[in-house]
Amino acid sequence: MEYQKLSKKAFGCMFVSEILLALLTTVIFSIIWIFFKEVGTPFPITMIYGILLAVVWCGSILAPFVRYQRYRYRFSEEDIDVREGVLFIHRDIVPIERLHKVALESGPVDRIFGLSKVIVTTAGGDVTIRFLELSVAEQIVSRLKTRINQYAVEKREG
Amino acid sequence: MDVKRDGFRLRNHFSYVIEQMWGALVVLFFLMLGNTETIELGKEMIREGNIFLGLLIAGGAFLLLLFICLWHILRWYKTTITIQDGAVIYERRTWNRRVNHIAVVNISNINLEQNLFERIVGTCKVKLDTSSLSTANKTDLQIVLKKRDAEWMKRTLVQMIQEVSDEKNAAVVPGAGAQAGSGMTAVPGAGAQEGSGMTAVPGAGAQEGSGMTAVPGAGAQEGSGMTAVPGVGAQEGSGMTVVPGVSVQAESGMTHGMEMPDNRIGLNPALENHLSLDDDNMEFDIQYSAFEIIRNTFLSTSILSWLVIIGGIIFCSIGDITLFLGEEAADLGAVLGAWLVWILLISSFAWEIVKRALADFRFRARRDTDKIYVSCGLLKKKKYTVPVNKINAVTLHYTLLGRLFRKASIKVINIGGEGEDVDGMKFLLSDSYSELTRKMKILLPEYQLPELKRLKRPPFKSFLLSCAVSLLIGGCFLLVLQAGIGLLPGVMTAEEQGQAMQWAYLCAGAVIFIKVCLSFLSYRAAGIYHGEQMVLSRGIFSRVVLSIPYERIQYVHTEQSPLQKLLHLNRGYIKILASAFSNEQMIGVFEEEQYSVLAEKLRQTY
Repeated sequence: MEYQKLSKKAFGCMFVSEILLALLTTVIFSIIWIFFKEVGTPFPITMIYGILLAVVWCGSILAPFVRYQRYRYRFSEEDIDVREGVLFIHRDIVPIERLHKVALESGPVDRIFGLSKVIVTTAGGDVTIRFLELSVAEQIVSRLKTRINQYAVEKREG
Repeated sequence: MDVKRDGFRLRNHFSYVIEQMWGALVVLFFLMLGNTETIELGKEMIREGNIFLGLLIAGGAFLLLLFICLWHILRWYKTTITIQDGAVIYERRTWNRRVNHIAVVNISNINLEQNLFERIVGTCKVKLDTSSLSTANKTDLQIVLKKRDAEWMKRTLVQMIQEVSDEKNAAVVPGAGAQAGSGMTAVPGAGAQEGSGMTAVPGAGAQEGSGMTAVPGAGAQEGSGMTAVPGVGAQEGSGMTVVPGVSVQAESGMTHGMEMPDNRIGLNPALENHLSLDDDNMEFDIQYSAFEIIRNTFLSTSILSWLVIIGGIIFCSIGDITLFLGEEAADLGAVLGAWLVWILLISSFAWEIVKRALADFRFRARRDTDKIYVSCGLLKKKKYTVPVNKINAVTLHYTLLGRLFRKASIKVINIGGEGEDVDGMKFLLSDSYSELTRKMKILLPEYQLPELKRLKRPPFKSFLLSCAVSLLIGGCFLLVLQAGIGLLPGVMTAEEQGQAMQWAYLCAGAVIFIKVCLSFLSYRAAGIYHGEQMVLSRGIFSRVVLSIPYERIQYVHTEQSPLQKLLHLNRGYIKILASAFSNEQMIGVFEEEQYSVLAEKLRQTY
């Protein structure tokens, strides 16, 4: 089975999430900056503050483009394969046979874009497949359930 | 022991309250000793007529003491453990009601332990370990009972587990009724863990035994937006296997203090001994002599401890020489202080060694059908049973001293079985490779010891890359220092800045040198090969060689930095069912090809 790309909505969701995160970081940095300005420090705190903010905002604006292009997932009959990342490429290979739980979750930003994430749990931990359209996610969960049931029956019948 | 109609209700021995409380009591006692002024103030207030406030101030500590005592007693009284319907039910009805159901089928270990206090009081700790990762912390149980009761409990549970496995072998799969209409097939033991509202997936991985724990009332449909399949697993016993043996025992009407019937268990008579803490008559396959235990203790000490001791001797000796032979008058107090510190260090080191030797005292192991029984300890007696099918990996441990003397010890990784050894359960003590191979064939022939000669080193470019990263880190470190020094013109004079810069270069050089050395040692220790099992090697001073069957790997995670991508390298880890410490096993930086082989081997297991 071929690797699947995410829908355009996913890009929007990534972008909004990154911007929200950057805003939060800006608030935290600003508090620290104000604190040090009041207290006084020999270091050029305003310059450091400016550089850090520039890095954060550049990263937040550029990251969704790269992340969206990189994100690929594949659900075969036997396993789940997810590739993602911005600078570092991460890949998870999860055999369906090892699954214990499947969950469907969506956060507030996900819901705005009609997206959802599928969390699969093995005895070794969780793997999350993010930014899936709700209908796609539901299909995946349904398929996983069916496949897992098949495994259970096969296992029982030896 | 109270009696239920169809099960047994146990309560911790009362000494458990004292064991739980004594730390707080000691702290409070010393606090009271140090606060005599407060008591005096209280007395003064009572004399002045302010009786209530005075009593509160003077007797506040006593009230607190009373509260702690009452709280612990209440908690002890409200905590019960019931063996019923093929499950151990742990119930605590204090502020928060907590009920955990542990299906016996998911108990991976039943261990008996006895520390010095328990030996004096005549009690014993029963430790139940479950084979579930996500629920292990919530469901692993420790129960303190009278020694005889503890042994009875272990015997009963072992019998129940045996009966369940016999039933399973007879291809009877009960308990799936709760899933009617859910469209899923349930296998007992797979389950809706913690009732989290997620879809419970039965069957797959059920041999690892995820399915336990159910807090009645927690409900399977808790989480919004999630798919939930009710009834799978252990909730209120619906997914559990009912073991007929339990009700039969219940009818015998046992009460606390009554004689436990010994003839109820149809176990191998040779193993009856292992069910009790006194196993002097039991025959073991592997027994270690005192010399072997001392050798193991010596080899398992860390090189850092030895360096501290040797460094201490050198440091103190130099002090002595300066004192007695030197021309300058040495500070006698300082030299004595140094010796005192060194004596303290050496005594704590010696105590650590003695403690280890005592913990391994009479280390013995025996294989019987699908279980391995291990017994050890002098002051703290430990007995543990390791079901072979719950072992997820075997590790060969070479400490630095072990590497020098070519001796390794073996640990096994099985969820919940680690106890104090966070990185695995002690299995075989330090020995030569050939001797370990021989012992492994007796105890655990299912696992092959890793063949060290087959280990393939990481490519040299991975070491070069690591050196480049070290240089980068050192460079960044230097830049930060330079910037820091350069930005402080008002604080430092030009001469001081020059000196500080020299130090900065020295520090950055040291950082790079140490990082490169560590990278080289890590490169030398690393290795991988794909045989019947996946074998990984890693370490810096010590070395750990891990052997994991592919079917025990839960999933694989890989990472690739831009530089690694350029050099066709990959790094990553595998996840296995184990405690948090050993759940993630790093693979290290290898060629992409090694990861492809791993993915392919993994695919062959399903």
